[in-house]
Amino acid sequence: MWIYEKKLQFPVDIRCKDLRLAKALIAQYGGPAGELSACLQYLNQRFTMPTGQTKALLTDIGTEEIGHLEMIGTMVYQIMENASLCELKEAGLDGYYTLHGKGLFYSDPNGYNWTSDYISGMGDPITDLTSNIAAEQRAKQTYEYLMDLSCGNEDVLAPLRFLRAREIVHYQRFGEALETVKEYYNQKKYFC
Amino acid sequence: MKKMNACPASNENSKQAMLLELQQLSFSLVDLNLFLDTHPDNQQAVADYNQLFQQYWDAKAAYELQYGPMNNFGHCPASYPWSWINDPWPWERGGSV
Repeated sequence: MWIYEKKLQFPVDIRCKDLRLAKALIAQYGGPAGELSACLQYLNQRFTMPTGQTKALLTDIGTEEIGHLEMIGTMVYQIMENASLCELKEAGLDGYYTLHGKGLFYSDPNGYNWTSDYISGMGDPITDLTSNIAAEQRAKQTYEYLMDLSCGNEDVLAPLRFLRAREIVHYQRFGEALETVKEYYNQKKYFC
Repeated sequence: MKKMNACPASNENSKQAMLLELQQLSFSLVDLNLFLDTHPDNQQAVADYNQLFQQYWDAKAAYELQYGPMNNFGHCPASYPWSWINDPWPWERGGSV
């Protein structure tokens, strides 16, 4: 069960109309290393985790990622909200508009729709946690590229900085969980 | 932690300040929660968590009394008329800051 909280994890108030940036930001909504991929990957892997610690961590990070998905959706929505059709066309969003209007959709800036092929779940805790460490690193890299593209716009940079920092923390926590899972299996082998 | 302004310049400023305080407190709790998941024996972190929990719930109750519920599904008392449906939602202007 999940409970919705009627607030964002971090404030988002974007005044600029940088539509090309909105197009790029969609990468973190429905792209390969985006927040949808992250939350679905972690929440799905929970079922076969061996310890309370790993079950909790995947539940909690997966849940936080849903909040990040909401932040990215908010950023895209606010930039596109008052854009004219001419402005959308100039930014190369005419294809997007044709398919989705100004609605959000799980696709990437190049028009590829989200697919579960982006995520992994091997049913093995060590394999899955290793994959999550890599996923956090890919997301952090994507945020850095988006920050490069934001042309110093503080409204956009502040939430992106926050989200990038969270990827680093998640990377760290997954690394710690991986070590304890390895210890858990070593002990099991020893006592059996 | 940022303190609430006792004499707000306007209603909107007061709402923003209260919401920002809630975001700061709940962020600290999320971050401590993840830390505790991999450091369950850290007594100081558990004490910090409990202290922040109290601050968060007090701030949340004060916010909800004035601006409506932050949670539904029985996690927050309801007023009449049902105000869960009130704008703005978090993604809208004035909804998140």
